[in-house]
Amino acid sequence: MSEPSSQELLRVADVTAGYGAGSRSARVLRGISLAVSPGRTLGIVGESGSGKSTLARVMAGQLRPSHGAVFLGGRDLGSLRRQDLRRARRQTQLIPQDHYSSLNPRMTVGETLAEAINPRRSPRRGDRARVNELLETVALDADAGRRLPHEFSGGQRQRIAIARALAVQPQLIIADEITSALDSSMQAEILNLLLRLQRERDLGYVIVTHDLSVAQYMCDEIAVLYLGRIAEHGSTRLLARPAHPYTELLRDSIPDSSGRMLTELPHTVAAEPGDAGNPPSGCPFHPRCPHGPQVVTDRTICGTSLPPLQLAGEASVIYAACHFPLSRATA
Amino acid sequence: MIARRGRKLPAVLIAGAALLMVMILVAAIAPILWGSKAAALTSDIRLGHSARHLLGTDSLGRDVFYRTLVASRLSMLMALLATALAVAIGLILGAGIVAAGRHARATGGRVIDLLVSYPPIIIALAITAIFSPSRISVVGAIGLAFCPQFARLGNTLAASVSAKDYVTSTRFLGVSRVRLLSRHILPNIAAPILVLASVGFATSTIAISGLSFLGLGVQEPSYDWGSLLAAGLQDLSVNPIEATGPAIAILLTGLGAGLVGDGLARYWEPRLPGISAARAGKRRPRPQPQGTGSPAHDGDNTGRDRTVAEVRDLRVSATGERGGVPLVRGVSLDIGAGEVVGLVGESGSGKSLTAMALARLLPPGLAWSADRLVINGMNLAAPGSPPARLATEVGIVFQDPTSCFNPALRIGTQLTEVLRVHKKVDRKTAASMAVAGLREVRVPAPESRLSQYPHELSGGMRQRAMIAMALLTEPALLIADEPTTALDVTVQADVLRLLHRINTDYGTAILLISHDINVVATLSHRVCVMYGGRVVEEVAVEDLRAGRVQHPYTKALLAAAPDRSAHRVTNPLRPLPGRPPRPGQIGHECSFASRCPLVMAKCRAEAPQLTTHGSGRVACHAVQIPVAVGDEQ
Repeated sequence: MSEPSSQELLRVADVTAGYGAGSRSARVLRGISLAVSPGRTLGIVGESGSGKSTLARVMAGQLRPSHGAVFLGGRDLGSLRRQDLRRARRQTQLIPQDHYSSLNPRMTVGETLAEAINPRRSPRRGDRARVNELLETVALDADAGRRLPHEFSGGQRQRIAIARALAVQPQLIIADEITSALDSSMQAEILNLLLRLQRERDLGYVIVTHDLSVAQYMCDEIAVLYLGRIAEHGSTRLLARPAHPYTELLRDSIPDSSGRMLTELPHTVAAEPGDAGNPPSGCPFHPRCPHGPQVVTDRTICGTSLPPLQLAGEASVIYAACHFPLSRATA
Repeated sequence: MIARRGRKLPAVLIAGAALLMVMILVAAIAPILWGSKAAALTSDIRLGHSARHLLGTDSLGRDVFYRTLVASRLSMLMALLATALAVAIGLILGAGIVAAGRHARATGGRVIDLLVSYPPIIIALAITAIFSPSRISVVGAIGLAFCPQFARLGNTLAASVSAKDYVTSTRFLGVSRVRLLSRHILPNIAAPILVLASVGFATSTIAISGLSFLGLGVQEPSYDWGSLLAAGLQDLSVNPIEATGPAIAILLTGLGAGLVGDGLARYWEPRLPGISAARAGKRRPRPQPQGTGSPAHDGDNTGRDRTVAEVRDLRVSATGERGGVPLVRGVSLDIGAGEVVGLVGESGSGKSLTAMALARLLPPGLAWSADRLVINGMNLAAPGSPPARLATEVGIVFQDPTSCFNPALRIGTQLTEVLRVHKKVDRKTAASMAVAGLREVRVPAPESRLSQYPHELSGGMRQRAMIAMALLTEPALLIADEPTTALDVTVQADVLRLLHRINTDYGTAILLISHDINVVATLSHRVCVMYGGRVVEEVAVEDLRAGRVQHPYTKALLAAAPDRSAHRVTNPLRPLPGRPPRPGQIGHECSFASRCPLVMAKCRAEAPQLTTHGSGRVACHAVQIPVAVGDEQ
C-alpha cells in the first residue's frame, strides 16, 4: 500500500468500522483502502447494507474506525487534538441524503447559511453578502435567504444543503445519495451543479450512490462495495467491462431502453445480500454469484477462501476481489 | 424567533387569548378596585342572588362575586408559577439528559418513566403533607408533581431532534453545545412543550384549587378560588349559588389556557394544515360540473381486442376553501387485456391520482368525475360506493410496502383476509392459496412466512409479498404505483422481472406508474406521459426506446434521465428549465408553455388537444402543425 501523499485530500487506509461496542458490536466495513485527490471524483456504489453510508461517515470524520486510519491532507485524523480535529473536519463536508431532515425547519435559509459561515458567533449584517453569494453559487434567488426550508422543493433543498457545505470552503464534499429521492430532471440539475462547482473550485468528491448510471456520469474512479468489502475498484471504465460478477449484476440491473434486462439477465441464486455483520464464509458474494459455486460446482474455493483484491486487467488499473474474474474479452 | 411572518392566527388562538386576557385583566385590577369590598364583613350572611350581591354572600356576609374576582390574582399567579417551575425543572432534566451522554440518557430515561407513572396529585398531596400548608408549599408541590410530564416530553423530543441530520451537520461544523441547544434543539421542541404548558396551566389551576379546597393550600385570611369553593360547598345546601362563582372562574381559566395551547400548536407548526383543509376531507367525493369538450379519443391504438379499463375525461380536483383546484384535468386512457401501460411524469403531474381514481381509492378531500370509467365491465363512473367486486378485479401495489402492511398483524392474516372476505373461502383453503401465491412470486420458504410479521421481511420480500397479496384474487388489472422506487437496483430488476412474468404467464394487465422513464420503458407496451394533470403524449414502447417521441416534454424527460450514453463532458444531462406549474395556476394555455423550447404564440392562447400522430397520440401545437412538406432536394 502506498504511503499517503500530500497531494491527496483524503485517504482511508485499511479501515474497519462498525457500530456498538463489546459483544453486541457489528462490523460494517472491513479492510477498506481508498483515496481522493483534488478535482477528482470517487464513486462508492453498492446495495443497501453494503456499508457505503458508514464509509461516508468515516471519511467525514464523524465515525472513528476501530482499525486503520483516516488521513486528511496527509495528516492522521486519529492523532489530532480536539481543536485541530474540528478544523480538519470542516475541510470535508458530508451532504446527507434526506433533504427533509438535513435543514433546521425553524431557521430561515439565510440563518442556516450564516451559521455555517461562522458557527461560533451570532449572524451579523455583514454575513448577508456572503449568504447571497452562496445562494447565487447554487443558482437560487437572494430572496431564498428569507424563506424557510419547507417552502422549497426537494431539489432546491439539496441546493441549500450544498450551499451550506460550500460555506466552510471545504476541499472535499461527500454526497451520500443526495439525488436518490429526486425525480430525474431535478437529479440532472443537482449533478450538473456539482460538476460545475468541481470545475470552478477544484473540489474533490466522494459520490455515494446505489445508482450506477449516476456513478458512471459523475465519477473518475469507482469502488464497488459488497457486504462491507471492496469487490471491485478502479477507473469508471470498469462499469463497461466488469471483472467482478457482482459489478456485472449491478450493471445489468439498470433499467434501460433496451428492455433486455427482463429476459436476458441470469437469475441469481438468492436475490438479496446477507447481513454485513455476519457475512458468508469465503467470498461474501458466493451464495448469489451467477458464476460461482452454486452454478459452476467445481468452484468450491469461493465458499472457503476470501479472494484478495488484485489486479484484474492487463491494460487498465482495475482491482477485483474474485477468484475467477470475468474475462475482459467477453464483455 | 419562532414567530412566523405572514401567517394567519388561528381562530382558537384568538378566542383563547381573548378569554385569558380578560381573566388577566381582572386579576390585575380586581384587588385594587374591589379589594375592600370583597373583605367587608356585613350582617347579610348567606344571601342568595340579588342585584346587590350577584352571587350572594358567604357565612361572614362577604360578597362572593367580588371575592371571586379578587381571588383571580392569587389563583392565576400560583398556577403560573407552578407551571413555570414544572417546565423549568422538566426541561432541565429531560433535555439535559440528552445532552449529557449515552449512559446518562439510558438511566435518566428510566427514572423519568418511573416518575411519570405516579399520579401527580398524589405526589402533590404527599409534599404538602410534609410541609406546613401555605401558598409557597402548594406552588412547589404542584411544580414538582407536574415536572415529570415535561421531563418525559422534553426528553423524547430532544432525543428525536438531536438525531436529525441538521443537528449532526451543525455539530460537525463546530457549533457549540449551548448554541446547538438554543438554536437547533429548543426551538424545534418549543411548540409541543408550550402546548403541554398551557394544558399544564389549566390543570395546575384546578389542582391548586383542589389542594386549597382540602385545606392544604392557601390559608386564611388569604383566599383563592379553591378556598372559596370549599367555603361555598359547606353552604351548598343553604346557599347553592355561592359555589358557582369560583367554579366558573376555574372553568374559564382552564378553557382559555387549553384553547391557547391548541391555537399555538397550529400557529407554530409551519407544516400543519389549517382546520379548513381537515374539514374539507369530511365531504364525500361528488361529481363536478363537466368541463369543456373532452378530448376526442380514437380508440384505434389500443391494440388489444378487449379493454380491461376504459377511462374518458377523468377529472380530479382538490376541494378547498378557495374552490376546486384541478389536479387531473381530463385524462382518457385505455388498458387492453394483457397490456402493460406505463404512466410517467414528474411529481405532481397527476399520475398517481389518475391511478387511484381508477381503483376508486382517492383520499378524502378530493372530488372526481368522469364521462366513462369502466373496469372489466363494471361501470364506476356513477358516484356512491363502488361495487364490492372491484376489490377483487383490481390489485394494487404501492411504493412503500412497509406502510401497506399492518405491523401488528402476521403476513398470513393479512394475505388471507382478502380471500376470506371477498372470495368467501375457509381459513385452511385461504392459507394454502396464500402459500401458493407467495411461492409464485418466489418468496423463499413461503409456509413459514405466514406466521411472520411484516418487519421480519426485508424490503424486497415485503414488496413481493404485497404483489402476491394483490394477485391473490386473480385481478384483471394490477396497478403498480412506483413499485420499485424504494428498492435497490438489483431488487428493482427482480421485481420488474416478476411483474413481466406475471404479465406474460397470466395475461394480467398492468398499469405501471413511475417517475423514472427508464423503468417504464423497460416493462411497458405503451407509455402515457403526463404533465400538469393531462396526458401529453401516448407512445408505443418501441418508439420510446428508439427515441421517436414527439412532445418536447417527453424529449426533455429522456434528455434528463441518465443512461449509459450520458457523459458529463461529451453528452451531459439536460435538466428541464424551470419548475412544473402549480395546480390551479394553469389557465387556458398549454401547461408546458413556460418551459418549452418550441413555444409559440398559439401555445399561450389555447391548450393543445391530444390527437393521433403516427402510431401514438400527442398534445402539442408545434408537433401538430403540418410541417411544410416539400421536395428538399
